[in-house]
Amino acid sequence: MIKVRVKKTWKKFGLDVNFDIPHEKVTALFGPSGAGKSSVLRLVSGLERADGGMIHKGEDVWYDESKAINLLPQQRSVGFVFQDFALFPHLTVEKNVAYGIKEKKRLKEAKDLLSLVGLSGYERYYPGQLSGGQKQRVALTRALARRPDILLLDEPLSALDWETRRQLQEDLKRIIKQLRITTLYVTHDVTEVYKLADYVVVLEYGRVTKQGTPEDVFMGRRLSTRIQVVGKVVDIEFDSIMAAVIVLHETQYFKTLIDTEEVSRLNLRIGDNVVIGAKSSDVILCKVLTET
Amino acid sequence: MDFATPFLLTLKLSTITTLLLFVLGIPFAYWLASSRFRGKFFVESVVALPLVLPPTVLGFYLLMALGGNSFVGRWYESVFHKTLAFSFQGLVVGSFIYNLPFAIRPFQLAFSGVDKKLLEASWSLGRSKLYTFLFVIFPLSRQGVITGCILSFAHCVGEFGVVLMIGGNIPGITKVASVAIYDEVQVLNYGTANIYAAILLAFSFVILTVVYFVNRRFLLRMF
Repeated sequence: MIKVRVKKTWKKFGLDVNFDIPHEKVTALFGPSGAGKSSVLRLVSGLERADGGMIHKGEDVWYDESKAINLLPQQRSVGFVFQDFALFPHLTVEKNVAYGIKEKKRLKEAKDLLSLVGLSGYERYYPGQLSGGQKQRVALTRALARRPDILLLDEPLSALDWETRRQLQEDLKRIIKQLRITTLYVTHDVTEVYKLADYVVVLEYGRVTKQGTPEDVFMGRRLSTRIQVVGKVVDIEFDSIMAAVIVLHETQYFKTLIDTEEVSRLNLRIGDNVVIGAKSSDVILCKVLTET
Repeated sequence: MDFATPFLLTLKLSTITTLLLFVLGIPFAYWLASSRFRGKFFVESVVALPLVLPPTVLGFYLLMALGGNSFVGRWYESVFHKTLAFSFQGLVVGSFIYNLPFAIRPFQLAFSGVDKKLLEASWSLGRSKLYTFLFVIFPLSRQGVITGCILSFAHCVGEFGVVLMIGGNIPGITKVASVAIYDEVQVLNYGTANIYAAILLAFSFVILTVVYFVNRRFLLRMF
């Protein structure tokens, strides 16, 4: 388990977080943009130094302000996957993947990893010759190749188109489960949290506001209420909050659109159970009428 | 005097100066590109001085600094038993300083142009700053490094004022091609001067054409 208790203040933003990353599980760091998710990742990796607090990996101390310990990124055994891949453009796929490997016997494993992500045959290609999805697979393989203690993924799918993203979500899930590697996954996409994460830490304005399993965090209590819809009073029961795209937004009113494409892609039939999720910051609360 | 001697001297001086700039300039430029030192602008201004200073001014101060009465000059004399001023070694020192901006600026610009994310990726993959420099920054800065070397070489071939101030015109020792032209004109030997001048003109033009052709975009950002 990795314990993270860190503080850092920038000119216009402050971060103060406290959470644990469980061993061999996928923890999603979830929140709106500007919440400080990427900063947390940079602090854990050592690319940035906190102002106070500590980061302990089991018995090892990666950072402890009170003891003046701050390991360099090189000393922390992390695998960092960047949003925009950050592949070395002058090195082939093979050389990119082998970049962090110091023992020769690991090179064979790197080759196996490449075939695990479906990239065997691409060893001699340069990053410039690959598609976005392939680049991110190479970046993932490169980060995994040196067997890091923790895999850090900074919105790894956000630069990709919808179809590639869906495919890569599946592959990521398969690979992470197969290698049983401790993972911290930054995202602002609820679907990704549900698909990939065992735990979720919700970050808002630089603070952890909720944490737990995705079900605990995103599902409210079962609610039973009456609402007024276009003049009629209806009894409703629901389990969750609702996700949709806002298409019109005014002071006291907003209009949303549920992604019907998503409905058809999920191949839904009458009688299927579905869950609709929404970011809490995207929802405006209205008073509900329970009496006529 | 042998006709080719000034040219050979010019080539020797330019080659040694460029090699020194490469060896010493690269770590220095990397420091400039990566340092957050507050007084960096001051160091950068000093490096850029030869761009604007009349070569005679630079030459004069260098002569003062390297001459027999100076600390450097006396130290050099006590170690090597000869003077630094009016020697080939003195010329190398002068050329090195005079050509600093022509090497350092392109090096620095190329190093700082490498995406910071790539450096972070390298560090997070467990590689040291030195390894990152050798295997990521340097290969990705090849264009700037080559440009810096060619420019300083070419500029060194063409320098006159500094060389004359520090080295004078001792045949075979400090009399480089550009000084030889001046000498020939002084004695109204226009024919020889013309041949020297034409060769230098052609040489400089070819070098600049190659540099501009190789990287048009890079040069635009440089000065």
